Amino acid sequence: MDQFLLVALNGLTLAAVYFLVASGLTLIFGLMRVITMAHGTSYLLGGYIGYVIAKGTGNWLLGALGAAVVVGLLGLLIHQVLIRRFQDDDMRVALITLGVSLIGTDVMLATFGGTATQVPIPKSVQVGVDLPLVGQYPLIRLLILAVAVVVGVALTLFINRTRFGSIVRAGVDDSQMTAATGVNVRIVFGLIFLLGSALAAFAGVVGGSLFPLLPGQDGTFLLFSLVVVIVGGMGSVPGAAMGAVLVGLVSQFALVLAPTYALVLTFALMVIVLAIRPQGILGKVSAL
Amino acid sequence: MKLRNKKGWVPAVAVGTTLILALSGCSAGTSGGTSGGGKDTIKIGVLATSEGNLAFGMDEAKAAIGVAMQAIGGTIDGGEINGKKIELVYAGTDGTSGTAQTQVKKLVENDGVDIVFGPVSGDEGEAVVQYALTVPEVTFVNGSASPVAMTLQGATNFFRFHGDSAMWMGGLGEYAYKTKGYKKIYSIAEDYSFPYDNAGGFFSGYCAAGGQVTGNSWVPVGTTDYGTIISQIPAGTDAVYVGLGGADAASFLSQAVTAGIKLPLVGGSIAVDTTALSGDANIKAVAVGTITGGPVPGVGYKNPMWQPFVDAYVKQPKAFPSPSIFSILYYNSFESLILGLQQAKGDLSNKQSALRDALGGLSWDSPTGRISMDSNRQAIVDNFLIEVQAAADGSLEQKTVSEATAVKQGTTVYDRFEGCPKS
Amino acid sequence: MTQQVDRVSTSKSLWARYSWIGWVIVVGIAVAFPFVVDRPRFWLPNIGVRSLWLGIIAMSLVFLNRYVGLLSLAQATIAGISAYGVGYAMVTMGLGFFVAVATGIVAGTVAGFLVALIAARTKAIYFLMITLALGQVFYSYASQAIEVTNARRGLAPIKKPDLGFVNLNDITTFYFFVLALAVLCYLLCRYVAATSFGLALQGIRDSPERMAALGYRVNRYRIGAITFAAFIASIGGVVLVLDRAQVDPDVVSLGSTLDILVVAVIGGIGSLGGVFLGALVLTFLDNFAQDFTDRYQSLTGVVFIIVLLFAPAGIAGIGKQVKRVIDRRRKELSFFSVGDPQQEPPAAQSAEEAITKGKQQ
Repeated sequence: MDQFLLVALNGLTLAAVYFLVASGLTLIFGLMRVITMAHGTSYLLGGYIGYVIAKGTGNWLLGALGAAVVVGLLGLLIHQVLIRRFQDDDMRVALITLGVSLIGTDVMLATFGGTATQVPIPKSVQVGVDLPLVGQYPLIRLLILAVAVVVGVALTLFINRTRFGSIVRAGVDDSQMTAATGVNVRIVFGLIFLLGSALAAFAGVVGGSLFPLLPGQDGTFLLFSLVVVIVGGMGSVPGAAMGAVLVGLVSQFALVLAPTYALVLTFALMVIVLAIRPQGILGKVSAL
Repeated sequence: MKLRNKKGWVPAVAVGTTLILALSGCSAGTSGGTSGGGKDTIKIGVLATSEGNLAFGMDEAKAAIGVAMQAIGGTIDGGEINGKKIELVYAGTDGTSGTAQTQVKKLVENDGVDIVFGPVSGDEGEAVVQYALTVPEVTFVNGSASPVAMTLQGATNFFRFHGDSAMWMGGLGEYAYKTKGYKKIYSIAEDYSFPYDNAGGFFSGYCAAGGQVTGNSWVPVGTTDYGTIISQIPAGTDAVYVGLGGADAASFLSQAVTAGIKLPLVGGSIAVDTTALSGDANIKAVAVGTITGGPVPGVGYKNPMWQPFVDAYVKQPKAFPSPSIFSILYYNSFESLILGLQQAKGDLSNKQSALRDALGGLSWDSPTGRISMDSNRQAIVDNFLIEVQAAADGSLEQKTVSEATAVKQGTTVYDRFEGCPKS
Repeated sequence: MTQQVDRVSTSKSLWARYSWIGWVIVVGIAVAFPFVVDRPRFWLPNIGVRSLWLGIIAMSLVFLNRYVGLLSLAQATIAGISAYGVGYAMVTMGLGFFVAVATGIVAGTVAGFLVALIAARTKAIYFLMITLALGQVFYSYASQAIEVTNARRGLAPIKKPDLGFVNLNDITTFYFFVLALAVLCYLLCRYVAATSFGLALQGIRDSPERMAALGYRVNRYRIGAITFAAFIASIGGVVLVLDRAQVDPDVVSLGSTLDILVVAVIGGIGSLGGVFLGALVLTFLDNFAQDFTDRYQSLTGVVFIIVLLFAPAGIAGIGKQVKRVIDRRRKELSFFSVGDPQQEPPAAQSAEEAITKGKQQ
């Protein structure tokens, strides 16, 4: 039983990182109907920048915030220059952002090298705590889970309780109507892209404290973000949370039950969801 | 009239770019010599990984070649041996067999190299050997690719001047069982050919000595989350075999610390080398006491050739604090090539027979011990059993606990196994 | 009215004549290629054959995008499955050349059929994502399924046969064999596009609701199209495995998928023949860009983006607006048959108009 709980906890803490990355993507996808294939690049770049800042200043939080700000602004720039013109053409945006990610990966390889790095965390955090039933469990994973919950709640409140959030929700439902009511959709789109990229970068710093940062992680986390968004439904932050939990749990339990094919099963989850309910678990049909 | 429209634009650009590259490709091709000797330039094509998870491979290769070439008055771009000019051409790959195939073909068929040197990884090595069988007029000297099977394919133009990954663990199995007292071991390893051979070499000795395997986890390369795998380790296990490398090893080590693993570790040959130990993560608690085997000697190695090599290595651009397994193997292999060329007096005529005879019969004292050759053009080398310990300044270092001299290659090619291999 | 028709008909026939000659010239260059280059031993397999199989696989992607409106990132995977089929038959089971090739093509086509069953109902961007993920599923499987694919070691060696009357081991013979195959595949794609099946596909691409109302089983047509594209990709996969002499998981990796996409985009994602030029560009970059700069991946990305930004014509996904404009034009000029594959001039003009009339923000 405690084995089961341990694996479930592993799945949840992994889901925390996936949720953080996917939340940005679901906002962008939900509102602007564009897929940014450079989302993984934002994750990795955020991780690297956080690493540099945290290593230099010794302050993890500064690293996280700095990374979010820098990558957010970079995302805004990319949106204004490359994406805004082709707002209606989701295919073209996907391909353009793919090109951006190709360049980004290569530039990061040149700048940060090919060996793995990790965002430094204070030694006091790198311990295990004793949990009831489970035994010793890494503190950092629990902290990451807590961070994800806080961010998730904050995002949900932001979307449901603020005026800007209501514009976002209206836009997810019907962007043309929203524009017709006089909202400057252009600015909203830009800000959402900024927010999404910043979230990805923050996720990069958080994830980069637990997992290594190296070339290839951008592709991995892009793929997992896509899977989570598809499973959970686009445009929905609770959906992203649910999708992340599902993906996390499936991947960990698959490791126990069928270790060699764990990765296959995780992606198969997405295939099944798409076959049964194409809009995702909490997605709206109109969003298709 | 029609060329103005944008549809004509795209193919025009494509054709234009193609023509530009074609012209440059032609000029690059014609500037190279044809293979087959007799000319005054010896062209060596170097394969190394410049992308992917072994992206530092090219830097390490250049560092190693730099040390060797500078000792004979040359640079990484070329030099002179016996009055013949040496020219070096570099081709970067990403560690996959596909790019290795593309680049080795380009080196041989377009750049016209006489000798191919490299590659880095096992997957690439197997592809290069398959190709070598089709071009008998070119000599191939291995870089650091270590699958067992490579020198058993019958390629008379392929030479490997270091041990294979099974040889690297020679003696460690017995040491783990008898000296360290690990009666039961759980194995976590990456699922491809290098760890198969590496683990196979360890476990064949370990099982023969009487040890037992309590379970296997073969994980895909690039696995970063070892939490659940760590929790699978059954009770009663004495030690964990860690057949991981690079980032996977680093992740595992740091997650083992936070998961509170108290079990000692047995590392594969690249699990606790300088790339893993010099990272930032806090892995001391778990890494200290890890034993491993490989061609890299630990501190306090008493070979007069070793320290000069290390001193020359750290002066190279982009070098690590101490030589990694890749630079050591690349150096030994490249220096062997130079010695062979010197012995053959730079004569590549008659299908490079003088060079190949020299290489096949080579015997010299390298920084890591004596290298001599067997009948499969596979080296007979010294091997080191290492234990990780804490140095006086708190950093981690490797201490040699035992040296095995003149280790020969076995003939078993290992595959993924569950439990003790039948050898 | 008559003047307009005349002017347009003149421009059509001029353009038709022009592009026909253009393609003859391209094929002519391709045929003369072995005799023109100074190092055929390098150029034929590494540049020639490689561009051809990249082009064949990318052509299947362009076919789906252009005539069905679906951008599939699974074509490289399907080609890889076909390659594995050939490898498994030849290496593991020791069967002969023809049986192995048939196995490969059947394997790839069936795989495409399964992909179609799963994904045919989804819309464009979802289709892109699901095909991407399916590709990754197979990659993970191939990397670890040691009984079937021999995991990371792959299946080798896969030798070209000497069939007596034609020896495929001779590089020139093999090159012409592949060239003929590529031309045949191209003609086949054009033929299918011009049949009633192809026309129905284009109708479905433009307005699935309308076609469904007319009684067409929209999904079946999509499944059929995806399966046909898988057939073409499988042929590409067979050539791939003969050229590389081995198959391993990297044939279906994310990198290979992106290669095919880059080839299709650079060549002009609306142009069935343009893919071969795109393949040529990529092959050159892979082989020679390293001589210029270490950052050749960035170079590829930059070229990719430039093409996307400044070459609006031919990209079928540019939006329903442009397609509507084309449709309107087509109706005006009912002189032309509906669904004429030679769309280049009207599409280009409409795209220009679309931009100048401020369709973008």
